[in-house]
Amino acid sequence: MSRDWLRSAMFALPIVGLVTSAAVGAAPRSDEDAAIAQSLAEMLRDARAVVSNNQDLINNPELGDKHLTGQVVLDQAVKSYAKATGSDPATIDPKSRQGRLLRAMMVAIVAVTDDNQATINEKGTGFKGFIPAVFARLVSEDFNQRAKGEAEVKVTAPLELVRNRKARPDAWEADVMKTKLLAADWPKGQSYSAVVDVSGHPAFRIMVPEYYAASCLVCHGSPKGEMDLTGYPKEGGKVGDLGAAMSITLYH
Amino acid sequence: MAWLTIRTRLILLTSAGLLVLIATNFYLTRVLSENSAGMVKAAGLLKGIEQADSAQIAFGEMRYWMTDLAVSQLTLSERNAAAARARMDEHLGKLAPWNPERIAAVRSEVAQYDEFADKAADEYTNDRRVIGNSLLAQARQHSVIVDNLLGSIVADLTNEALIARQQTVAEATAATRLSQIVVAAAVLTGVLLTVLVLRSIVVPLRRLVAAMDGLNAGNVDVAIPAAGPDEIGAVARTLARFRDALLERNRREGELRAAHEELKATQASLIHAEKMASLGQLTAGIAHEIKNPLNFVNNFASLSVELLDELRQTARPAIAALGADKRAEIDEVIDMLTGNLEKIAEHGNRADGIVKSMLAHSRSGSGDRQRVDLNALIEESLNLAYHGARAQDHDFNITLERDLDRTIAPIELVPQDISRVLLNLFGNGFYAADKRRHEAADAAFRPVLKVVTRDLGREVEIRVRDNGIGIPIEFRDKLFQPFFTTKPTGEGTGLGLSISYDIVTQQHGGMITVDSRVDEFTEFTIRLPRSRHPATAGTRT
Repeated sequence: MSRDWLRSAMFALPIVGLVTSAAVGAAPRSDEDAAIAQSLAEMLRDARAVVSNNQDLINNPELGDKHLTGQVVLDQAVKSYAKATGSDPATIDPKSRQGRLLRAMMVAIVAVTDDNQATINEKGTGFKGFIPAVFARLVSEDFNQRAKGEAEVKVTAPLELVRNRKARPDAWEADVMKTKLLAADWPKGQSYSAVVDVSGHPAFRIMVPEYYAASCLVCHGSPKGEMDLTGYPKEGGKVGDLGAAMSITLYH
Repeated sequence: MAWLTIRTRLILLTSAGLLVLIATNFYLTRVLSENSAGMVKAAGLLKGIEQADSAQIAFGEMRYWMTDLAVSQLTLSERNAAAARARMDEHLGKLAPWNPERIAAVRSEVAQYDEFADKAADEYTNDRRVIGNSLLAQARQHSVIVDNLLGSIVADLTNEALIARQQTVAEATAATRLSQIVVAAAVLTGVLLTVLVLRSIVVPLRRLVAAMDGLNAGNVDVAIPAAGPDEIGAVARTLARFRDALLERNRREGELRAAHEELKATQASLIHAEKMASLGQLTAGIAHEIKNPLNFVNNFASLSVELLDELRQTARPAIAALGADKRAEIDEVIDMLTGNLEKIAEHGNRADGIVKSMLAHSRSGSGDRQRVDLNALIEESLNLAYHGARAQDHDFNITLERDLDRTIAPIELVPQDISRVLLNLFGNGFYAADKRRHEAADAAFRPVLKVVTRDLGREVEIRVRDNGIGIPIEFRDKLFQPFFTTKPTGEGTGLGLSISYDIVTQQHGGMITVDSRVDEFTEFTIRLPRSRHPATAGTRT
């Protein structure tokens, strides 16, 4: 198995990330929340796609400075975002809730990428572990710090598929995945959102499903239990299976 | 051991062997069973060591994955840690029966480690590394205790297993040694008993075989083994009975043979006696018939001599008238006639003597029986014979030896007849001894005649022995027949021994036998019973 395969696998999930979403709950606040959440999800997916697309560059041991700075990643992500949503993030009012949170996401993308420049530019090391999933988690964590008390983003998955303990679903997330997203009659690609109580405060929560593409199965496919190139046993997944879910919480 | 039957001996021998075998087997089975229990215990302890080792390994894996979880945050590490914990629980569960308290202590420490490690992992997950480190340090302390507890358990189990193994080996070694000793002793005892039993059978059997061989060879004096109560004793008893039967048979056979021999001897004697008697009668008859003509011959011969003398006296004048030549011729004829007549008379007298002897033969047994001193009779007869012989031949000389039993009581017999017998025997002895003296090349030869008497109780014995020429064996059957003689014609009538035989056997109911070896000796033996009984006689060579 070539290194290209591995790299493809590592950014498989972002590629299959669905842009479609459906807000459940018809309240106007919820609509706004859903729009904000979809906006944040899209930006995160786009940035993750940039990292995915540059895996060969990042893992090139012969090259030192890859010139893949935070700004470079953000610029490419913004382009993708504009293309996908038809709106330029720069045009969104930075003082609005959406503008503030989206900018926080964009700052987080830049900060995480810049914080990992030493890793990215490490010469002599091939696979550096700076993969889309790790990038997405680091960005989520950075974002969560920046939007503390206002919003949280997490890429999670059904418990048996979670590889990093930090990505473990909480009870609500686990329940949504089990009863909604994994339900046989759940429309493919449709998100689930609800206003729920989080630590005594009402919050808008949305779960955006992400499905395995063929390239994902290099690490997550069959035979189940066989070690992938990172040294982790494969989950035995098939194309179209629910592989992850992006969980976004907006506190009211 | 002969007081036991062979069957009992063999049963006892076999039983002893089987008993030793069963006892040894029982002992070895018991020891093996104990040994097996010891081995099972040792195996159980080894299993325990294996479980403790496995628990240690599982705990090491658990600790590794929990530590790995702190760094990697991978749920895989968490799952691996959980799996290792489950394995450890399982191993501890299997160890628990060995020492529940110590295993409970291990479980408690493991639980505490687990709790701290879990909390540490959570803190790391929540990016509270400092407190995570602190919790992990506490967890580490419990892990050290777990290590120590498990290590001590392994050490104790190893020690127990070692002791159990050593004990098992020691017991097995002792059992092996004891069984070897028992087997060796059993073999020795078995060999000894077998030898004893075989000996108790074979030795008497050999004696029996020797006895049977001896009896088979006709030796009834062969020793027969003592009859014990066993089977060999039964055979010995049977053999003894057989020997007794054989003895009885031999005795009867001997008796029969003796009776047969006696019968034959009696028969021969009777035949001989009959022959003698008929010969005697014949001789007497002939003598009687010859006696008259012989008297005529003798009388007329004597008368003729007288007549011739008368003729000479009567014819003397006429003869004197004749010429000298004629006278001489007549005198010569008359002398010759006279001489012839005297010869006729002489030989007639001799014939008369013979006839008288023959008549005396026929008359034997007619004398009176008297109680006489036998030794005196012998002395008298011996002197008479000796001097008679000396009178006939002045050169005759012989040494007379006497061995007379002076204790012999007077015996009843016809003295003149016995004297006649003795004179016959002495005369024959003198003749034989003297003849040998004349024929012997040895000048130093001295004729000897010895007379021996013995009182045998119911009879007396007289032995007359000379060292003369002896009697050839072919003559001995004819010795007592009338007219048998080896002497030159005119010297013996051949009637002496025949008459003696009749006197001894017919008249006195005794017996007369002869033993002789040519050129050495001749010995006549006479036995005379003190009381008269039917005649028996025999000859012996």
